[in-house]
Amino acid sequence: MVVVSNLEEFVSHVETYTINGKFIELGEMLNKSYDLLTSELDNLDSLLESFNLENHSMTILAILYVKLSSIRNIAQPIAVFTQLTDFALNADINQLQHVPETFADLFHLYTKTIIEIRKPESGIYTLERAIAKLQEHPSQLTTLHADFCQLCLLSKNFKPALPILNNDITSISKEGGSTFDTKSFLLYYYYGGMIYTAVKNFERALYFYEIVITTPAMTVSHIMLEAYKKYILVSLLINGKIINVPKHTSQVLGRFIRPLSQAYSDLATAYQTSNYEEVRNCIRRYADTLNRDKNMGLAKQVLASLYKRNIHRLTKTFLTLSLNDVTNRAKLDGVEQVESYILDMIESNKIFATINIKDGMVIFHDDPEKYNNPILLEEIEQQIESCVKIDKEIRSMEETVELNPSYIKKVNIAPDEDLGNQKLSANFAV
Amino acid sequence: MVVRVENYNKIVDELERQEIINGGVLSNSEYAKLLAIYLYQNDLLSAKFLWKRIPLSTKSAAAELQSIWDVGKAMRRKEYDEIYISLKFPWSAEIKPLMQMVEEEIRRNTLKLIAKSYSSLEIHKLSRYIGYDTQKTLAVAQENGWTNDGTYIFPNSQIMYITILSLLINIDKLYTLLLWVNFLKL
Amino acid sequence: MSNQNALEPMQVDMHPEDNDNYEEEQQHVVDNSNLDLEAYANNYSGLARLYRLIFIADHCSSLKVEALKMAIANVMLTYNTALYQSLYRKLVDVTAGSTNILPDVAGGGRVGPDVPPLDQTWIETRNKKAALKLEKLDTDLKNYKSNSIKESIRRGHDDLGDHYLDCGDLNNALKCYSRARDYCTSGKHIVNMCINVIKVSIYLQNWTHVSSYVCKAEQTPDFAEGKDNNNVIFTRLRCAAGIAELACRRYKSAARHFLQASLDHCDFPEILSPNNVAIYGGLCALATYDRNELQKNVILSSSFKLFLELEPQLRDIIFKFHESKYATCLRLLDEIKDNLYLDMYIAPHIHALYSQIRNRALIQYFSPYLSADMRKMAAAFNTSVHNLEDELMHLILEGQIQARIDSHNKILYAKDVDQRSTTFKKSLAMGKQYIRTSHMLILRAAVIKHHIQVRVSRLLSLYVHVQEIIGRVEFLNDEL
Repeated sequence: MVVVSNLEEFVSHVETYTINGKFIELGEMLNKSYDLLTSELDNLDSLLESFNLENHSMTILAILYVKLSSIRNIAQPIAVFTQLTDFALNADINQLQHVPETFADLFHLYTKTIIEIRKPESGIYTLERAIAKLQEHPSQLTTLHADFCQLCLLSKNFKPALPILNNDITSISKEGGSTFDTKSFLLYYYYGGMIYTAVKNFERALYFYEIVITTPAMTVSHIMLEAYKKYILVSLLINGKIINVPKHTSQVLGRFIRPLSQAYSDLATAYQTSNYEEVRNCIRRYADTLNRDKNMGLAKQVLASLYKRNIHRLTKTFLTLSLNDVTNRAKLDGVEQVESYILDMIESNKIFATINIKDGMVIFHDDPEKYNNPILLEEIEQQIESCVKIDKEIRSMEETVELNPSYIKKVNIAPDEDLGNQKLSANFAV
Repeated sequence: MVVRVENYNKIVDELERQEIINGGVLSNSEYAKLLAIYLYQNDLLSAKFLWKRIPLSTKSAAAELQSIWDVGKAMRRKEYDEIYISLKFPWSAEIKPLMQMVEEEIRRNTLKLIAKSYSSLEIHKLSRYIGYDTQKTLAVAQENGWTNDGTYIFPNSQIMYITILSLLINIDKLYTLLLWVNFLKL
Repeated sequence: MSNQNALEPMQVDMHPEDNDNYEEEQQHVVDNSNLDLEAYANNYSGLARLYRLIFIADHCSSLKVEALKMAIANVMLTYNTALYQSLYRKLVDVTAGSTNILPDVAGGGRVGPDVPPLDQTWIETRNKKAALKLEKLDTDLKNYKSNSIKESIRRGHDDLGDHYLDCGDLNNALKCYSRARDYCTSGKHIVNMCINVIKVSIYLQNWTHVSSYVCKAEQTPDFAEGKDNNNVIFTRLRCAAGIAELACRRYKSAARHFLQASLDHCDFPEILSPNNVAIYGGLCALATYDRNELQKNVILSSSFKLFLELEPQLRDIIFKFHESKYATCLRLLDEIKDNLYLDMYIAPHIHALYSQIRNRALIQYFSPYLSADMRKMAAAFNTSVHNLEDELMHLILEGQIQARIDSHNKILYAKDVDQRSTTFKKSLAMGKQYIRTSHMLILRAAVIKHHIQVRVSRLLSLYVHVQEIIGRVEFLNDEL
């Protein structure tokens, strides 16, 4: 065990380990040098000059961590942030793989720090790079994902998050050994859901909230509770009702979380009546809860969607209808409002209709999509491509399982690969 | 100054990228440019969030930025009178061409939507939608081959909902098809 | 002791087991009825007669007093002293009530003019006799048991059950009848036991019990072999099953059961009359069968035809429906409505059945057309064009009619479905769903592999974190 007592010794040990490629020992020594480095705060910048990212990424990581931990006592805090960005961009990946957890911790601390100084927007780029550095491939989840999304949310800048959120996660990084921080997992999908909600990609938002509420659970997580509330609201926006959660959902949801979100279930019940007044009264009744949960805006969107849903129902029923009848049946305030709603829905291709002001009526058309154009072909092509990709993914997962000694022991027969694949293809053909 | 739509997409991408690399800030004129292009693209959600994250100090120092957003606000609320009034702001030389394009684009989109949505509407309503006086409105209607009876305008109801892109079905497509069939056979 | 556990007199109105979510339609009160109470009551025996009379008393103001008096006369033939007292109290209330409303009717005191005083001696002697009989039956049973004569023990239980039933103690009756089961030596005995249990279960409105004992009876080996008496039992079982299905709102299945009954063997006065079979079966079939089923299973059914002869009005209704004379059909239906409201088993379902019949008529009316004039259609259904529009709207939204309404010209057009587009739409949606589910599956595998799970110790920190973040992202939903 090496304990170094001054900076010269520190530098010489770092060099020795680095040259001999003894990264594990180097890591151990760095861990034990925290106090030393903290006591030499003023000299750290000159110390950094004796190292370069190409060879000493682990050491620089340790020094930056110390600087960041003591940011209040540092003369030029902004310079530290610049150093961190540079580190995220240029650190050597081969060395970092020995200390992924410390790397992640550095940027957790960074996120926390810039949120404290109320400059979340300054860290989006840095975190984006840090994630890229930590990931083995773009579909891998790291604990930094949640931090990144939090920064995007706080700075109201959602577009940079979308490329990352749009990647469906297929594996999870092993930063913390065999277990991954549950809180970080839940937060990533909760924040992600909020970002998608903000940019009105509700389908995707629902998917993210669903992941949160179906995470295995022994007890109530407040993240899960908040996600469930938003899940209900978004579900109403898309489907007009709460869709059933998958069977593997933890019992905690039904037993504890559902009773805790009474206001939201009541809202869903009111929505089912298609009665505008009832939904509005329900929102009014639970105004305090909705405001406290910061869901009032979303609840108002739900209310507005009911108008559109009711108009949409009319298009399914009628070929022609007078503007006055539309007003009455959709419970809107006058023909003007009907016109603006219908225009809005035509613009977003939700309905197909023609307004005839002279005769005071609306003509509803069928969806003119005939599924015979190249754009659609493109869409189908993309869909099939994703299916092929998924199939590959599942096959490789299956192989891993089949090669797992405990699995083989359990089934107690020689794994019959053909049979397994057949089963899978059969599933797929459906 | 003709810039193609794709080029605007590129400019947007660059400015957005620059914003985060700069640690979340852009210059005054870059903000104005980005906001205006969002309006041109009718991407009002992005415009709203951009407006919300522009620092207060920048906002209060730039009346023009505020005026661009006034247009965006009116667009979000679909208050057509308000849209054309706020577009009359004396824009700076740098922003003026962009805002002119925004105005044309709004008018073009609105006309397209009206053609799609109305078989008849009042002349004064059309004039409100496109921000022209009656005479000019009638001229625009005529240009599009729309008739009127003195009270109502009758937009041409022959509308194509889908513009079919000419994507060539070539030999590559056949190959992909072959791959699918192989895949499904497995 | 015999009367202590006696049935609460209002048990008929009770909503046992899963009935609690049913709409309360029993509240419907008929003002006037041309029902011949005497003839009606003679169709039934035992508790069925009592319950039906009480039901009418509760739901028809003009027949109330007569029905109560008749019920009292009948209850005095039994040992059910508790029911006697409660009926008597009701009668007193009614007559006292009427004197208040009509003060010119002479009547001194609380008791109305033609109400005899409460027969206290009858109650006492009856209770005494019931107790004696119970004691005797009990001793008999004990003797049989000590002698281990199976057949006698079975009969002993049955006798005891009969006696409890006579006293109105349904729960004990059920117990005794069920106990007989262990002493059955032949299939016939088992079927007999089942019928007893079914009867009491119907009185108790325990419908799951009814259905399961009907099954049990049918599975008895003897029963399948077909003996003389079996036709009667078969019809009884069908009627019992039909009533149970009806009560559970499974109308189509109820219709199927009633339609299998045979008039020549319809002998079940403890529960229902052949007229009831006709009404229950006919209405359920009308509400749930399509044109072909109605033709094949009702109109051309030689056995059910005989039942329909008993209810000529209903027969007309079914025929009119089949002849597409909906206006007449619906008018006739309205005419018999009041009488149906006085039938304890069908009354709660009148609303549901009638609206289903009406919907079926609307659907059937339109089915051969590509387009239909809604003014004519409204006339055919005795309604206004506006109301018809509402009705059609619901049917279209529920997918029961494939059509669209041209409200401007008041024409209903059949919707022409483009198979190709629908198929494309469906398969694209399915593909999307598949991709979504698969992604979630892959992620879930990773979650389990990395032991991601919400555990107790994390509770507090999670809470703090979320409070902090939800506090800061309010703008998110701050729409417009």
